[in-house]
Order: sequence, then structure tokens, then C-alpha cells
Amino acid sequence: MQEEALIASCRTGNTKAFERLVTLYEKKVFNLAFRMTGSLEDARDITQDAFIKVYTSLRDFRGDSAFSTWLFRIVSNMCLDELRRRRRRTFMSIDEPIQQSDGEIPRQLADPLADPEQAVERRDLKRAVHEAILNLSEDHRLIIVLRDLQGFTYEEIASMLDCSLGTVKSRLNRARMALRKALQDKELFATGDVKTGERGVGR
Amino acid sequence: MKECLEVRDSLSAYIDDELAWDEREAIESHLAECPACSAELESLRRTVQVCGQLEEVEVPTEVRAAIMASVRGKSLARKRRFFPVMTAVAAVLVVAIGIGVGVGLGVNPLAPFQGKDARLAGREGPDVFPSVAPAPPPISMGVPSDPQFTTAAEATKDQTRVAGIQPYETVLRMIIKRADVLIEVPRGTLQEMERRAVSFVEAAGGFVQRSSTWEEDTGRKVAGITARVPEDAFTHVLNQFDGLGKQKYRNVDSEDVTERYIDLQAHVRNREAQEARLREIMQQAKNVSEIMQVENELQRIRADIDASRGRLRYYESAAAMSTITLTLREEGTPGVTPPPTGFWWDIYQAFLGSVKALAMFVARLAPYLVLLALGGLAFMAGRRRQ
Repeated sequence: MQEEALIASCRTGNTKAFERLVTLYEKKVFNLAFRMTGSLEDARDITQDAFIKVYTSLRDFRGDSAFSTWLFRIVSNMCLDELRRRRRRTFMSIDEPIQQSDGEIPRQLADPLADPEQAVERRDLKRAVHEAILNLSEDHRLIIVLRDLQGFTYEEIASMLDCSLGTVKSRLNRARMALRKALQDKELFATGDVKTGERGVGR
Repeated sequence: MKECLEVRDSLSAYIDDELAWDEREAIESHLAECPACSAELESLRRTVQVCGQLEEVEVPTEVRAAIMASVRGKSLARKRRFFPVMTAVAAVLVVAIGIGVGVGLGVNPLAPFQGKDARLAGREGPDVFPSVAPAPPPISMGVPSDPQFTTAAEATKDQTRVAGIQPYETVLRMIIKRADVLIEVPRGTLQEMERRAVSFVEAAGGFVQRSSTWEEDTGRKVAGITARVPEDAFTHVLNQFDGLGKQKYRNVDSEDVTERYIDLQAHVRNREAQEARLREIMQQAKNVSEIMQVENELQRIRADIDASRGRLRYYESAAAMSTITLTLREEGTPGVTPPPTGFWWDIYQAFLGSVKALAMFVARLAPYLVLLALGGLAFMAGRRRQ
């Protein structure tokens, strides 16, 4: 395929070829990062870092998986790293007062519901889904984004996440269940889509 | 018939048609009889469908520009990003050891900068800092690739020359030379000697940048000239000045700015590549806010390029034209030259003293600074690890 020629050309240092690769994939990369982090700012950083990393380590890419698989494996890992880093950062203190030279002051956090415009938007289905996805666990979020937003096949996902097909199947199933529950909790499915809910499950 | 629980584990794969035909059939037959599982399937389908409705967001245009700007500044070598850290560590170590050795030997690291001090003591401080800096490292690191470089066919050719910049060997050394000379001339000849000094400068193709005359309290006349002469005439003019009278003091120092010059050149080229790239983006900008964004960035880069170019020009002119500061002084009556005293002189001495103290303080601190720097770098590396 033409992509292989592009990659070969990149390895000789052809930045134009690399630019074409970036053009091919930047949207998907950016969107994966955006859905994973929920922040355009972080998505931008991750996209940049990921492509720069791809460029510098192109020599390590042996071509035993598709380029896209390799690329999205890097991006996925960067997203997870970013989330991990963020967790470390924010775990420190929300209730802990801020220390100042002349004593301490209570920490003030913005109330996301305070903005009336935002509150209205909350009812918007797409926004709600976006947020519900962001509230999933990292593993669930990643697999939902890869499969249901980006449309990768089970095989591709298994290769990206370095796990078996069976794992992809079961993890995706659990992730979708979790997402559905989150959406139901927000009463987004109250419009007759789901009538039966949990009733009658043979447990 | 399958149990509900087992069926529910496979519903997701069923939706995606990822089941073997026998599994699929088993599920379908269960669904036909189990409304709860059917509802479950519907809600999962709806979930998947709703996810599919999320639109992709557009990538900000500056993302690709930033990627490409960064990529052009990189070579394909592995582990490249490790270099700046190691270089920084090495540089800190070298400086620290240098100062440490200097202090240990009882050498005042500030000696070369204390011309006046040395003049009084009748000696010139040992030169701790050699006037010609050690050869800078090869410049391949961080040198931008040629922005004009377009086709794949050119790729290999382009790699063989150091991208976009003169090979190091052919860059002339940029050395800024400065001299400070004090010459005593017989009483009454000051004006004549000054005129001759100016004529030496002009004959060598130089010019007088500044000149002044004044009279000391003792009634002695002094003339000061700051002259710029072509670099190759530097020594010649200095020797000619010596012929004007009795040389009382002479300090020559030179500063090698080759490395700084090359770095700056690379920086400018990098920035210009970025600028060209941004102009391309400008053409593709779709709305006013994009244009504004790019415009802002362009302005910032342009300002940086202008400033850097200015400094390049300064280096070029400073290296091409050496500076000589000549002071001509009438001979005083023997023994009448008193050591300088007075309020301002005391202030000057106090200032020198504090500079020395500060330098010693930094020198003593150096080993700990190195440790701190190492720790800091390790911390940063840890944070930025990916």
C-alpha cells in the first residue's frame, strides 16, 4: 500500500512524507486523546508528543503490525499515562486548605453546575454521553472509544492493547454495560428505549 | 437454552457480529424467548448507537505545524532526547570543577575582569579562563533540517550534508578582541600624540568611536580614545600606540563567540522555517479567529528572528572590528602620582570586594548546586517519562 512507501520515505528523513502520515491520522489521534482526557488542551499535547515520538522511533517500528495499530498503541499508552499523572496530581488535596505565609485559606473549587448555560447543555444527549464516557474507568473508556467511537475491529484493538480477543470481547461487554448504566442513571434512556431494566435477570 | 447471564456476556459481541455461527444461533434462540434479555440487547444497541453519534472534533491547525516544526529540528537517531540532559549535566559539572580547582589553587577566578586591580598591583592576574574557549561540540545536534526540502528523491542527498547549515569546519572563528592601553606621554605633547593615535587608527581602516579629554586635580591632562580597528590590524595598531610614549598598562582579552554565533544561526533558521510554515497555514486559515491566532504566533516569531538577527550582526561587527581603548596621560612629576583616594574610589573598592565575596560564595556552593541540578533533572525526567 501507499502507506508503506510513506513510512519507508519517512525513515530516510523525508519530513514531507511524515507530514502526509500526520495528515492521515491526526484527526483520529486527536479525537482518541480528546475522548480519553476530556480536554482539548491535553489532546493537543498528546497528539503532538505522540507524533514526535512516532517520528523519532520509526526505526523501532518493524512492521509486524499495521502502522495504525502501532500508532494507536502509542497514543493509548500516552493517554493512560496522562490520566495516571493527573490522578497523582489531583489526589493531593481538594479539602486540604491552602497554606499561606499568614495562615491558611480554604480551597475553593469551581462548581461546574454554577454556569446556567452549562446546566442547559447538560441535557444535551451528546454532551451527556461524552461525560458518561469520561466517567468510566480508564480501561472501559479506552475500549469504548476505540471500538464504538473510532470503529476499530476486535483484532486491531487486541493488538493495540496487547491482549487476547477474548479479553477484548469481555472487557468491551462490561464497558458497554457500565456506560449504559451511567446513561440510564442520567435518565437519558427514559424515552421508552428501555422498559425492562434489570427486571427478570436470572441471577 | 442458554442461561441469561451467559447470554448477556455475549450480547456485546453479538451486536458486533463477532460470534461464531453456533454461538449466534444459541443467542438468537434465547432472545426469542426471553424479553428481559431482548430489552438488555436493545439498551446495549442504543448505547453503542449513541456513541456513534458523537462527532469527531476538528484538530486545531497549529497541532500539525508544531509537530512538523519539532520534527524538522530532530534527526532520526534513537535516544536523542537524552542528549540535552547529559549535556546540561556535563556543563554544570565542568563549570563547578573549574571554579573548584581555581579556588583550590588560590587563584582568583575574577582576575581577568579586574583590570584596574591588576594595574594597581603591577601585575596581570593569571588567566584562569583561557581566552580561546575549548572547541565547541559538533553542531549536528538540534540543527534544523532544510525547510525547502521537498521530495523523497532528495531525502538521501539531503541527509549527507549537514542539513541547511554550513559544515562546522568552514565557519570562521568568531573572536571578539578588546584591548585597554594606558600610555604616558611627555608633558605638553598630549594633543599631538592624540592626533597621531587617531591617524594610526584611520590608516589601519578603523575609526574612532569615542574620544574625550579631561584634566586631573593635579593639573595633569588625560585623553581617552575608543577606537575600532579591523581585526587583522589589531596587533599592528597596538604596537604603534606603544610608540607614542611609555606604556603603563596593557590588557588584551579576547572572547570566542563562535559557538554562540553558530547556535544563534541555527536558531534563526529554525525560526524562519517555522515562520514559512505558519505563512502556509495562514493561506489555509478558515476563519478570523484562526487567522488571528496564526498572526499572533507569526508576530512573536518575527520579533524573535529580528532580535536574533540583530545579535548576529553585533557578533559579526564586533568580531570584524576589534576595540581598543587608549588612554593617553601626561607624565606626572615623579613621586607625585598619589594612590587614588576619595569617595568614589572607596565605593569602587567596596563594590569589587563584594563581587569577589559573591564569586567565592557561588564557588563554595557549586558542588551542592550540581547535586541540586542532578536531582531536579532526574525529577523532571521522571515526570516527563512516557
